[in-house]
Amino acid sequence: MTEHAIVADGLLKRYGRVTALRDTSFAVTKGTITGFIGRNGAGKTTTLKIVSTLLDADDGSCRVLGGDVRKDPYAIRARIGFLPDAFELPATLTLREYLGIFTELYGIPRGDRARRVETSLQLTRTEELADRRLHALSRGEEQRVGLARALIHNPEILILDEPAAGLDPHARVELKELLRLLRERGKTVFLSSHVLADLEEICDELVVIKNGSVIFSGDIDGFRKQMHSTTRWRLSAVTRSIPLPSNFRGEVIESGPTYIEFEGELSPRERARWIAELVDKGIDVCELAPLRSSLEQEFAKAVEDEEEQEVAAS
Amino acid sequence: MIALLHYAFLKSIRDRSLAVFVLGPALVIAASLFGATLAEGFRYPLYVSRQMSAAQNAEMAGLILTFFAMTFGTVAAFWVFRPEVATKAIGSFLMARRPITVSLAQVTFAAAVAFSAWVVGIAAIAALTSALPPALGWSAVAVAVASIAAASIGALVVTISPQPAMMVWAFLACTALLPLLNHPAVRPKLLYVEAVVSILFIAVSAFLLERRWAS
Repeated sequence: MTEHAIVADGLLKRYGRVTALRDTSFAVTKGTITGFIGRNGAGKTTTLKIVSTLLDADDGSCRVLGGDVRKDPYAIRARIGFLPDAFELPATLTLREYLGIFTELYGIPRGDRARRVETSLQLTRTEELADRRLHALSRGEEQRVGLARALIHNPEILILDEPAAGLDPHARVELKELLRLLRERGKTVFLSSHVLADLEEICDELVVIKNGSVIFSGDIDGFRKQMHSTTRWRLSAVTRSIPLPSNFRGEVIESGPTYIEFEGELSPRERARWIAELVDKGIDVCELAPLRSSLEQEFAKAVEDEEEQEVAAS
Repeated sequence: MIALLHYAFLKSIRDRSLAVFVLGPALVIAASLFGATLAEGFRYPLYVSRQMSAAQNAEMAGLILTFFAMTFGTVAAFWVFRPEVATKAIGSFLMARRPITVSLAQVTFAAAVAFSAWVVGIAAIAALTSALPPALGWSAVAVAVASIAAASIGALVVTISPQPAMMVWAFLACTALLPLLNHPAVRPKLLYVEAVVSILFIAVSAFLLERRWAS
């Protein structure tokens, strides 16, 4: 049986007349990296705040590691590490002092504090910053320091709001490596991000939110299946023009002298038959393979589909 | 709470605000004593008014000192976590500790600063006027309680808004406290009022702290 680290059920949150979340339900499996995507204002930060016990939902329930966020917020806080989208560091303290204070705050025994600080520094590769004061840090360094702080008490779940925002490509690679390492160590990571290519690389599961409602929750392949009812294919060959097979049932999207891209269902038998047909005509086939669309394309499609359905319904 | 006091102490040592808060009231008193004395030619002991005895001058200087120590205490409470409140970085503390602990640490730190400033100021007054203000023991108790009340005002104001202009409210509150502190008939009652105000303001500031972070 799958164990869930986070289970949200029917969350509703209103800010005055604005409904930020409506009937938002999703689950995050333990030991996975789960991406949380949605447009600006879709309700990501509100959801993350409810999950992190910072904000009360007007209705619905949310359980984190089995505990109710409304009934037992302080016990849950002790078991999660939260990195908000924006945070400030005390410029006059060194990183080692800063982390040391958090070991005290989390009630870590005196004898373990130095070791815990070192572990956090090593995990986030911030050893070289340890004795530097926390000013004039780059955005990437600040994020790593924030992560070091979020990890200081060895939390079971990490909740990260836009951790890749403003990071350069090198820092993003480092962040991805760190998140993978944390997953290997059994941590659950729930993160929102606009960098969908990164999420695609590291996430096991995905929660997609639009206008305060979750439109998908599950693994990435499931999302593709749900959003991509017809597969896009590419056929390329060494020829001047590619003849279509007699029983072609797809829709040509793009074509050139040496390639065709089309959408449609193609069974392995049909693929083999088509290739044989082309070879019989003396055409050397280079490839006939499905094109995998990016998560970004799928997300854009999902949002457009929802909007079309809403227009049709109205 | 020790961790938060440690944090506040380290931060205020590094940005030198601790020195300003602790030594500021004594410097104000010293400056006013030097100014008043120099106006009529320098001589020792210094005075506020030539017509008063050394003990009376010390009492007057002690009253001014109390006002500035309270004001600096309020400002210290406002200042110590102001950037954290303004940028919501205070949230990282609230993930680890309850809001009431954060507010208590803030008030404890600022009250300790205010009381220390008063002690330093009394030493300066004794050295400069060659006399001590009267009823020093009672004054110390009154100042200790007033320091907590003044600090709780600062803690509340910063959670309402961390804009620096809000310090004016803290200053006004201390101005209102001063005549009461000096009135013998009001003093014992005032201690109770200050204790109630402190508890109320600390509780409200803890509540607002959590709300501000979640907003």
